[in-house]
Amino acid sequence: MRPLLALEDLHAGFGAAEALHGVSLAMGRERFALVGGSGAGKSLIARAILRLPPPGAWMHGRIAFDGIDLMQADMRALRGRRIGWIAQDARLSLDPVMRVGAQIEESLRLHRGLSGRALREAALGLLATVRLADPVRVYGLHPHELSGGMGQRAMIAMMLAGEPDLLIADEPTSALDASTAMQVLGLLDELVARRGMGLLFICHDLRLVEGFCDRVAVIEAGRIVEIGAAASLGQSRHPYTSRLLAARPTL
Amino acid sequence: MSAAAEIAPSSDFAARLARWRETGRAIAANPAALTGAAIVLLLALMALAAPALSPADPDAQDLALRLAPPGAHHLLGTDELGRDILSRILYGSRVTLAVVALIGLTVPVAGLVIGCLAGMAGGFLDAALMRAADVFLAFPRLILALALVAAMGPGLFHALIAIGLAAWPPYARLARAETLAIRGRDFIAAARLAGASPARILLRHIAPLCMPSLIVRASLDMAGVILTAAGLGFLGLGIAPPTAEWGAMIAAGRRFMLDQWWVAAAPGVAIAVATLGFNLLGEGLRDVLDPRQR
Amino acid sequence: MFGLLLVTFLIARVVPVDPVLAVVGDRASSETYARVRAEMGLDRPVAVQFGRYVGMLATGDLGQSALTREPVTSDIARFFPATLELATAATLIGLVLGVPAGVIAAARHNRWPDHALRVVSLFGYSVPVFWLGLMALLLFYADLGWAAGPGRIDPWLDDVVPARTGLLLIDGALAGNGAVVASALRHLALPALVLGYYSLAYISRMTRSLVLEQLGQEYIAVARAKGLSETSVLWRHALANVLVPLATVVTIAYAQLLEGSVLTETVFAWPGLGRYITGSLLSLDMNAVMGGTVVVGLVFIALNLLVEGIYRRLDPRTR
Repeated sequence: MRPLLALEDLHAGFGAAEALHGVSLAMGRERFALVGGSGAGKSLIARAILRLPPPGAWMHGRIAFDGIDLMQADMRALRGRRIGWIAQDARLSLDPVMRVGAQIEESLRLHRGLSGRALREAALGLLATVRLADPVRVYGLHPHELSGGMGQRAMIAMMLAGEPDLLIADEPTSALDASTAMQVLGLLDELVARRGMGLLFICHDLRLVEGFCDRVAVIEAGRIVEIGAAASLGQSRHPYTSRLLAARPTL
Repeated sequence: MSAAAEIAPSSDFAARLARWRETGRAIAANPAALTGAAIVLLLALMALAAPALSPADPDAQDLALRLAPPGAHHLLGTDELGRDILSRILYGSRVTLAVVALIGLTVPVAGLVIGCLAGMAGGFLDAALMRAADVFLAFPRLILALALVAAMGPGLFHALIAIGLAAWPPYARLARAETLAIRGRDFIAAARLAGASPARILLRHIAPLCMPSLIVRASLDMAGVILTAAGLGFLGLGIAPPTAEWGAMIAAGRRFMLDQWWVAAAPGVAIAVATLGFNLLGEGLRDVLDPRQR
Repeated sequence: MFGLLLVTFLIARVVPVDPVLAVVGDRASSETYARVRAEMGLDRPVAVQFGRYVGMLATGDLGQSALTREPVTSDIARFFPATLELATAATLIGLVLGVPAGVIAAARHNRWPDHALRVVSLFGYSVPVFWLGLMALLLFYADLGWAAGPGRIDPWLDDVVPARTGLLLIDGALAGNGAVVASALRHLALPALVLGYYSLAYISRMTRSLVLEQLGQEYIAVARAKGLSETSVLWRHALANVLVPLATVVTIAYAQLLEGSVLTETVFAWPGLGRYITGSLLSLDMNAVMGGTVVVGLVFIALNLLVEGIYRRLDPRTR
């Protein structure tokens, strides 16, 4: 069975400096975590998959999504439609001057060809799916008026519009307080299971993914140092992993 | 950044030298800054060497040869009084250079001092100075210059005062902002405790911080100053005739635009090139010294 | 505002040439001289004069023009619309052409459209406006005959339609007089284009910086990740986010044009406020100069206030 996403010897960097030194990993329709400290190169991987490098960045290597070579493919057909991306803070990731509802509708119009009343209802439907208490109200808000948790849900709703097969979540709970983070994680869990999506969960908190994900890859300074089942993380002998585990704050 | 091993500078002075050298290198690598600097240097050369470079006396009239087209004897033709235009342009660069030098050296410094004063003093003096700055900022530059020159009469000196008065506020604002920003910092308090006078603090600490923005600002400003001065000359409010001045030359040539267009064309090109030089220099310097502002 | 008045007043009163003489001529008797001097209020102490002037201002009275013997206010009212028309037309040109140019330059950052824009705007910052106007007149009017000559309208069409707004284009349209509108347009075209070049240089440069700044933001990357086309991202998202700062840019451009109109109006014989001020200056008509300068200063201040107001009201983040 071919993997949903496979990275092979991915190199990336800025100018003369290399940030990713030959990263390789493969995942299927599972909850796969990518964990590392800041500056390890996690977000760069997310950008590389979507072929949206930050300004001044370069990359080369093989990235295959469902058999498609992403380095050559027409990314516009895939982005949003088959691969979704959730970033850390909705207030920075959503268009500040456009209402939330309109931004969701933008995706719906693009990927599902809806219009008119069907469009608005689908948008409200998505907002309800992400368990927002008052979808109609959120629909009319601007991003800066959303709380952290609402923002994450809105972003998830927006990215679900295209019904993607792979969802890349880049530190989705890092800006949230503990209880809201748990709720968002629970929502992600349910959505991913229900829709059979693959989830690439990027974060720096190893404790968080221990219980949540199926498999984990640990990345340090642009290199994957360990890949394994989440359950066996605690027995890891790798020094970096142990350090990450030890660094978790006690509740 | 090169990977060459860096030897720790042996003194404060050496460290500063090294930084200047690096900045100098960056400036030299910037095409805009280089071109601009080249033009400005050319202007300076023209102005200083005008007597040597001019083929003729700029004030020498030859009414028999008035309004002659560009040719062998007069590379840019002659004006309505038979004077050689090329020579007049070369001499006109002296006026331009004088204006730029006088304003460029005094106004930013004056603005710097005023701004620092306002920032350090605070309270009533600060408010008063900033109100004054607002007033002069509110006035469209050319109109203020017009009014002042009209009140005091035409002439280079008055034009300079007018332009200077309209130009100082941005520098004061800049200096004041920097002063306010570092006023509370520890090293200032330390300097004060060590007995440094306010003037010394200004010189050694505040001024160097303002320098990059000031230089960029001044360079770009000079472009505007040249244009304003030319505008005043065009309106007949600049330096008195028969001294060659580019703006006035255009005004004089205006009457003969239809048939002898070169009389007005050449000085305009000169103004444009000189202004371009300062604009390029300013932009290039801004890329190097102040990259946030694009 | 007060400071502005003070400065203008002091300037006018510092004039070394005696304004009374300018009115009565140097052959007048000493009684006439004294009478006119009293009339003009120049025999009072300066502070009182200033007080009187401010008082007059408060009631909208700008004094009497020494030259035309008309109230300065009515003179200004006659000339101001012409300047307004020119500045508005030029700003519109700068806006309509400049904004898309800036957006495209930002999108094609460091490629040829960007460099082309840089060159165009550099020349806009370097070439003197009065010279460009002269050259344009030479080329398009004298040589090619495309543009109409100096002035605002063909002389035989002047004063043909009732001046309701003072803006010939509108007045002509309101009166249904096509010839007037056409002639006014033909005369407006060249000066507006010349001035418009300058506002284009400024507006496009600012638009470019603003859009570039947006393009580096995360929400743009996310919008692209949604699968949106680059066109959509650029025009629907980036541009929408710079509209507010752009409004302030356009206002500043407008203010700059008011200043540049002083020179352009001279070149094109455009009967506007700028020409009125310079003409009055050269005839030492001080009340007129002061009045004109005060009005310009007022407009400038009003525009600056508008800029601040726009920013505060239109940005949804600050509502």
